[in-house]
Parts: sequence; C-alpha cells; structure tokens
Amino acid sequence: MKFAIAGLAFALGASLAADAHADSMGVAVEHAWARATPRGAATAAAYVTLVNHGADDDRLLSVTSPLAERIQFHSEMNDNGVMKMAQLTTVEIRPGATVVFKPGAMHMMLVGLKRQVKEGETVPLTLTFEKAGAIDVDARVGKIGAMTDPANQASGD
Amino acid sequence: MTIRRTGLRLLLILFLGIDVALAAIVYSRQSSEVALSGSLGSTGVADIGGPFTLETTDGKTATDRTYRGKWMVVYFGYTRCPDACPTALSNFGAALEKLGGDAEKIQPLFITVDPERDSRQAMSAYLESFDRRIVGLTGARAQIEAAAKAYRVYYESHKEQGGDYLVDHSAYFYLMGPDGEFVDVVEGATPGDEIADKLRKLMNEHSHRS
Repeated sequence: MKFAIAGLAFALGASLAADAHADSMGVAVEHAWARATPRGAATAAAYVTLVNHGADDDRLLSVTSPLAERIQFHSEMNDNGVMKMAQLTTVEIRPGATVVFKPGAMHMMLVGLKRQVKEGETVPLTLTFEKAGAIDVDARVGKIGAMTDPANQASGD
Repeated sequence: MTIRRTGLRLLLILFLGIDVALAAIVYSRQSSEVALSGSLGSTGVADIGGPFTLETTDGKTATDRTYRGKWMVVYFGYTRCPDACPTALSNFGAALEKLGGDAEKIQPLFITVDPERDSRQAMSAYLESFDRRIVGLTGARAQIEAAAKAYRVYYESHKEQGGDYLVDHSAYFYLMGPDGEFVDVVEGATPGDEIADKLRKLMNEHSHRS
C-alpha cells in the first residue's frame, strides 16, 4: 500500500510528492524540504513534518537518500547561545502528535553528500518507520539557509 | 520546556538588550565548565575580543589589527555544521545585501572551530556561496583556541562520535567597532534585515560620536 502510494506520487511528479504520504491511519510525512548546499559542503540539511494519524505510537528508525552516504537526525538546542546538537537514534511519534523538523531545532543531516544540492530540485528521501514501514518522499530544495519549506513561500503562507 | 525556555530567553534578550546577552554568555561559560579558561573576573564590554593571529583561506596572516578601520563582524562555526551555520551565514549575506554601500565599512569573518576538517579550499568555496565578502579564517588548533578565548566563545568537538562528529559552538555575531572594541552581539538566527538595521544604527551612532 505504501509502495503503491509512493509509486503514484512519483508518477505524478513532485507537486503531488509535496503532499502527505501515508496510510490514512498511520504516519504521514508532510512538508519534506531541504536546503541548497554551499559549494563544496560535505553535509546538507533536510526537514519534514511527521503526523501520526493512527492510534498507536510509531517511531522513525532511519532515513536514506541516494544523495548521501548516511543520514542522521539531530535534536538541536540553543543553550545560552551555544547551539548544541545530539544525534537521535529514533524519533517517537505518539498518536495524534505532529513532529516538526525545522531550522534551529530537530533536523536531518545528510552526511557524505555525493554532490551539491541545488535550489529547485528535489532530494529523494526514504523514511523507515517501525510500524508504517518505508515511506518515500521528494524533498523540495529551497535556497541556501532557507528557513521554511519553499512550497510555503510560493503560496504565500 | 526547552522551547519555552529558549523563547523566554529570546524575549529577555530582546527586551533587556545586550546586558542579558552578555550575562548569558558568561553564564554559559561558567555553567558548562568550559575548557577555555579565560578570566571571568570582569564582565565589562571590553572583555570580548582581543588579539588573534590566524590565516585567511588564501594563505595570508590575519590578526585582530588587520581589519582596523572597518567594523569586524566575527562568527565562529564550521563548514560541516548542518543547520545553525548556514542559517547564520545566509542571514549575514542578506544583511550585507541590505546594507548596500555601507557594507564596505564591514569586514565579516568566519573563524572555523573545526580546523582539522575545514581545509582552506573547502572554507573558501563554502563561504563564497553565501557572500564573497565573508573571509574565512583558520589556523592551528592553538591559534583557534586563542581566538575563541579572546571572544569568550564556547565550542566543543564531539570527536567521540567518529569521523562525522558534531561541534557545539556559540552562535553569535560579535560586532567590533573600527577601533577593534567590542560593540554588540547578535544571535546567528537573527533575520538579515534586523542585522542590517542594527549595524546601520551602530555605525551612525559611532560616526556621530567620533
């Protein structure tokens, strides 16, 4: 089912991929976006919003992309002006909860970037959840240092 | 909880101004048993900044005196920093754009806290993507430590994490006047417009004073 949805989205292109992917009663991945990278950068950042429409807890276990050797997820905290990051092994999403990855907070770090990420393209991400399984999304790429999903800016949100 | 605390802190900084920000820096240094054993005796404005000797990405020696006559805006970070540094640098790039001709009075400096992984070439390419006017500075670990100590910057490399290690670091722009004196501090996450307004105001005040 998930693969069918991901496949359909792929067939219809990035505009549909922009929207939620999920079983109606499970975890949805929304607002998948990434920042363009400076030339020569070894890392990139990507952000998603996870919404648990189901009745059970779920957990994000891993994220992969053909553009990166590895993807870590980090919490980030401004501790009296010091930005402190911690690598998370999993991200829990309780029933009804929305977990937002965004600049200055939780984010995904693409490590071992295989090429520069450019504004306007999309970065394929596969998010694997404990219960929802693998969900494929195409993260829209905004400007270097963009603070929000480029789709939001385009629609004036 | 964290978000609320951070939000509160931001409000405090906004409303009470720089004193709180400075207190926060000092508090941070004390509370986290900072490896940099700088003197905490006085919290006077002049305590931030001071001598440093580093190298630009094109191999020239740069000291705190190299940029006298210009406003130095100093940020400490590293090119593998996934989130905070791109935010700060693109904010600063936007500020330079907004400042137009006044940007000529400013010398933005990016000092790496990760000299082992940040080659001069990588830093140069990285910084150009934000703004060509930002000069990258690196050096031997001891030189970086001395600069961080002068600016009371906290950083910690988590080398226990292996090759992909993260570096915690202070994420402020330090604004230094043309005479090299510390003038103000701005959070890296401040939007470019606000940074530009602040710099313009400070530059105006300074030119009226002198």
